[in-house]
Amino acid sequence: MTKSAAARPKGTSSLRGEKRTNQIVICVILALGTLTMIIPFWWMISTSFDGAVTVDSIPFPPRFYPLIPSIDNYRLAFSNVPMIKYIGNSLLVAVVNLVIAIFSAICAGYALSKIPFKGRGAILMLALSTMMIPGEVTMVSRFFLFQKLHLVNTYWAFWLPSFAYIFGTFFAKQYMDSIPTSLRESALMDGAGELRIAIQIFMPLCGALVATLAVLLFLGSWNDFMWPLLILTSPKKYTLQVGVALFATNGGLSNQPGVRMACTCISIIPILLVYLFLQRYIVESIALSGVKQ
Amino acid sequence: MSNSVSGAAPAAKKKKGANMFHQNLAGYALCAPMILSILIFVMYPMIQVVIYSFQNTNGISATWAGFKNFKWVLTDSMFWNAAGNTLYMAFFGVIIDLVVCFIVASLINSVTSKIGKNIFKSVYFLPNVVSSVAVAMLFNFIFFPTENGILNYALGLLGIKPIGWLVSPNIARLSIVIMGLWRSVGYDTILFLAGLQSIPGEIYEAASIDGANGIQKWWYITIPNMKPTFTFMTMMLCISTLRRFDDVWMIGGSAGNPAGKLDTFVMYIYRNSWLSREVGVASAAAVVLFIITFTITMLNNYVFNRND
Repeated sequence: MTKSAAARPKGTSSLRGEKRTNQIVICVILALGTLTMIIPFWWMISTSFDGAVTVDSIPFPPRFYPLIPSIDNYRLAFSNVPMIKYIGNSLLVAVVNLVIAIFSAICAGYALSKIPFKGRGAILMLALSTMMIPGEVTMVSRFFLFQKLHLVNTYWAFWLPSFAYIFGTFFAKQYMDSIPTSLRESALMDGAGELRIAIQIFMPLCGALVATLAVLLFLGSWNDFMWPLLILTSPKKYTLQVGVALFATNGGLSNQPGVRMACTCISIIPILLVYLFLQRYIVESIALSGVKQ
Repeated sequence: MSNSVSGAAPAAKKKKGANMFHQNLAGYALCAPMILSILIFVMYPMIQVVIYSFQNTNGISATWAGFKNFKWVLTDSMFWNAAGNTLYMAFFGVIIDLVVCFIVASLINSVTSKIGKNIFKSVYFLPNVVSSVAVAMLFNFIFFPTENGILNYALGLLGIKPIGWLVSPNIARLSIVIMGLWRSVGYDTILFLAGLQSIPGEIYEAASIDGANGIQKWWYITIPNMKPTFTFMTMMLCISTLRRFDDVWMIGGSAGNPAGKLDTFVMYIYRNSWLSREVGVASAAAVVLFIITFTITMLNNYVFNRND
């Protein structure tokens, strides 16, 4: 009796010890993995602030701190590439995209969820089935459509298609299904129109959803490359990605790796800030959606 | 009394009819922006691309061509080269991605501290928010072909000679796969984590009582229960790797250098429509791409439904 009582705590403590070693091993493996995620960023940032790398080649052996800390690379980047202009263009495209897409998704999602009108099932089916068409398949004919509409080299080529935010519409509908319909009925009694009910009553109740969609839309629009590359023909209209990419592939400052690093850093800083403050939302929303944007 | 009832009924009916009318109108009006945009910018281009694929066209004037474009595409060695490269990168990309991300997700899932879990998730996800343009510019330096490159330097410490990551035709495709993996590992890990968390805990408890250890539980419970997630992820990754364009354009230009090894499906479409204005040929290739992605989606749906 005493023997077994003495043995039991010992058994559990060794089990606990084993568990702890397991945890340590797992964390060490994961930490090594995180290094491969962080080192490239760290190296890029440190090189971009290294005054010794402005000319000629990247330093050898690689170093992970700036030898001569300086902001010369950034000065050169801003004077050689109209970064501010590109950032402004990208922001304009992204913000208007976001507003249009969310407005459209909330309106359609509200209608599909709360208004019992004829054919809403068919509309939802139609919308969801068009999600199977990859944008790359239709880009050729879409380009010529915009050419016929005389909208090539304008931002309307991004804004008009964002009314079709099917992914967001679907999630708005799902989200609103859990909000009581009685809210709509009492608002109707008070004489409110459906659009007002959707925007003024239901949209504020979908705060978390709207925030998530806004973040996803911003990321998608900011990082979009192919469609802007096809549509934008004048350098004045380039978004940040197109501007930086064409600058790099046309061999601009190819003998100055420090400046190119600075350009890359500038192009990712806004998105890193968004991520830093909203990473909770982003990570959760991806688990929730499970759909690649 | 009967009078009042018979008088009220038609009025109510009329009111109900008017209500229905208003409701339908409001419903269509609120859906209109989305529906119009779908019709004009998704459905119409889809129909148009199919029409183009049967035409001799530069996008402005057109003559009927029958199946000539498809014949051209399917006998074009450039197309098969692009298709081969895309499938090569898709095959290795999907397999490596599935294995790595599943292992990372399993490890993160078994971390007991909640804060630790969140930190790992956030850090692994970090490269995913960065654009493919920036990632390509960064990896141009990381994959630098001489020993000045950071990766070759690290390998040099292990006594391995410098590898021409992005300049050697034999290795370039795998380098792109590694670059893609680095960017997407966080995203796919989070999808796997969602799948792992949906496995009921009681199964594990029962197994523990029966004396199963961690690895046994992982092999006999986790992996079989993750089958739907694996199916979904495989489909999603297949489709996204078939659409590869940004990173290969940044690294290899529109010719897909080195030696055309980084040429892909979408690059072939891009080149034919924008550089040589063979819009009919480009559209035929786009239709082929659509048929492939559609088949993958349908196959996935079939497997999914059969599992249920």
